[in-house]
Amino acid sequence: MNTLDDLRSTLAVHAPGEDAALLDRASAVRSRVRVVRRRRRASAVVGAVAAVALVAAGIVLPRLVTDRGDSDLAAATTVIVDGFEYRLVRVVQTKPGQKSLDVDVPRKDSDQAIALLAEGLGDGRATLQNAYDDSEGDSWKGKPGDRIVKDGANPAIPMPVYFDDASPDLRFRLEVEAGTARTQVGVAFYERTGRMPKGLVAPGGKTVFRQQVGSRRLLGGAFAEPGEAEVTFGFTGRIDQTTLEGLCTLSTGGSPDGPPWVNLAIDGSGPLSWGGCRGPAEDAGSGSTRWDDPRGGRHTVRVWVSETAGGAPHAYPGMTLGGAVYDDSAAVIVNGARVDPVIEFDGRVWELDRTEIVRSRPGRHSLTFSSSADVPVLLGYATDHVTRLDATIDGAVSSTDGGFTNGGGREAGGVVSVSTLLLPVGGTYTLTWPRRDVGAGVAILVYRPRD
Amino acid sequence: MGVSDVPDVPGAPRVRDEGVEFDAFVAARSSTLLRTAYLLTRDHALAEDLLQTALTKAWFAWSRIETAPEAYVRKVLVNTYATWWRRRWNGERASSDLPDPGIASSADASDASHDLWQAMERLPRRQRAVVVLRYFEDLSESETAAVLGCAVGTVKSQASKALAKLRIDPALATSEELS
Repeated sequence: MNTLDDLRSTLAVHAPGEDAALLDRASAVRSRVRVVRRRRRASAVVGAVAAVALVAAGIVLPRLVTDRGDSDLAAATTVIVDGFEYRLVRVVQTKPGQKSLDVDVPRKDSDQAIALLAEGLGDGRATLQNAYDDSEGDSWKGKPGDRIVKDGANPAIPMPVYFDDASPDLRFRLEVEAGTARTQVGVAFYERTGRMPKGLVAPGGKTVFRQQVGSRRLLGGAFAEPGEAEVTFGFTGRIDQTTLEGLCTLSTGGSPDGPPWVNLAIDGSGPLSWGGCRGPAEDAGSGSTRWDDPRGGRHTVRVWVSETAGGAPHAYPGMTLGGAVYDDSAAVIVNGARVDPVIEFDGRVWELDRTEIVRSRPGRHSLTFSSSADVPVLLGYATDHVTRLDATIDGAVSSTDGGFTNGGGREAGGVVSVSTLLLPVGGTYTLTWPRRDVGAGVAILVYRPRD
Repeated sequence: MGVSDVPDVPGAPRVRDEGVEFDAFVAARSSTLLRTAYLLTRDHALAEDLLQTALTKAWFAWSRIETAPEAYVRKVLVNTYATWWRRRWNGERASSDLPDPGIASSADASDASHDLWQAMERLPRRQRAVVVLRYFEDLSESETAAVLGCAVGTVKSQASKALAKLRIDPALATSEELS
C-alpha cells in the first residue's frame, strides 16, 4: 500500500524539470494561430469551390437565400440525418457581431432538418431556441434546440418542433453568447430528398428497414407483398441478442389501438401481439421488441396482421407490412437492461460514454451527473426495482427543461429511457427515487455525440 | 489581438501590446503548465502539443482572460486532454497504451515509485486529471472541480477511485481534506 506522499513524490520526480522548448514556444503558438486563421478563411472558400464543381457536373443546386443576399457561412448542400438524405434549401445568418437572429419558417409537410453554422465564434457559443408559445409577444419562451461552440457547421438535426400547432410558421431565435465582433452565426435549412438509405426497402419504395441503426445491424427481414397479410423470413443468431420489429402502416393514417393487430412469432413460439398500425412512415424502425430466449442457430420469424390478437391473417387496404431482426450483441448490460452503446437520437449519432455510467449504491435515493464540457450530452437511465423516478435539471423539475417524471417498473432491468439535454458547464442532472424502493438500482447513461 | 508593430514614440498614445503580454506569460508560466501536460499525457511530444493547443486557444481569448490567464490555460489544457485528446488517441491507436520515449530519472531506482508511475498510466483520463490537479498542482477539491467543470462530489469520487487503483487507501483523500 502506497501513501499520498509517495504519490506526490512520484509526480514531482516524473514532471519534467527542463523545458527545452520554452524559447520557441511563443513563436510556435503564433504559427498555430496563423494556421487557425487561414483555416477559418479557407472554409468559406472551400464551400464556394465545391459549389462551382457541382454546377459544372450538371447538378442543380438549391437556391441560397440569406438575410444579406449572399451566404458567408459555408453549409453542406446535402446531409444525412438518421440515415436519410436532405438537401439544402435556405441559409439565414447574422451580420458580424450581431447577437440575435429571429427566423420564421413556413410549415411544410415534408421532413425538414437544420444545421447551425458559425464563423469567428472564438470562445463564444450560439444557441438555437424554438418558440413553443408566441402568445406573449416579446416574452420569448424558448427551448434549446441546438448549440454551436466552434467554427464550421454542426451536424444537421431534424427540425426541432415544440410549437403552437395553430401557428402557420415555426419560429426560431438564434442567440450568441460571448463571441467577437466578427462572429457570424446562421442556420441552414434542409428538406428530404427521395433517396432511400441502404437497407431493406418495401414494395413501392416508401419505407425502409435500414442496414445499420446505431450499433444495431440488420440480420434479416422482409416486407409482405401488397394485399398480403403475413410475411415470413429467417435469421441466424442468438435470439436474446437481437431486437425485433413488426411494422404495420396504413396509408389512411394510424390507428392507436387494434384492430388491426400485429402479431410476431419466432420458430412457432408466441405470438407477441399488439394493437394498432402507424401512419405512413419512411423509417421502419430497428426493433422495439426483445425476446428473452438464448437459443442460437437459424430461426424463422412470422409477422402477420389480424382482426383480433393472435387471430387469422387479415389484410387491410393501404397496408404496408414487414418484419426485421437486428443484431443487438453489442449491447451493454446495465442494471439488468440491455443498453445500446451507439444510438441515433435527434438526428445525431451518440456513443455511450461508459466511463460516466453512474451507478447507485445501496441506501442511496438520488444520483447526480454534472456536465464538464460545453457540448450536448444525451442522458438516460436504466433502473431496476424502482417504482418512481424523478429527474431534475439544476434542481428544477420541468418537462420543458428536459426534466421528466416517470413511473418505473418493479421488474429487474425494467426501464431504459433517454432524453436530450443541453446542460451548461457545471449543470447537474439528478435522479431521485422513493426510499421505499429498497434494493433499487439506478444508473445514469451518458451519451456523447460521435460526430 | 496581434503582434504590435507600433513604435514606442515619445508623446504618442500608449498602445497596449497584448502580443508582448502573451509572450511574457508564455515565458513565465508555460514551463509549469508543461509539467502538468506531461503528467497527463506521459509523452513529451504530446505534452508540448497539448500545451500549444491550449495556448493557441488562450491567444484568441486573451482580451477576456488576461487577468487570470494561467487558470484559463490550465482549464483548457485539462479539458482538451479529457475530450478532444481522447478522440485522437482512440482513433489512431488500437490499444490505450501511450508511447513513452522514457526519461532517465531517479524514479527508476525506486520500485514503489516506478509502480505508482506505471499505475498512473492505467487511470482513466478524468481520474488521472484529478490526481494531477490535486496532488501535483495541490489544488483544493473545489479548485479542481472548477478546472474540470464538475461538482466537488465528482472530484471526491474520482479521486477516491483513482487512489484505490493506485493502491493508496482512498480514505486518505477524505481524511486529508478534514485535517
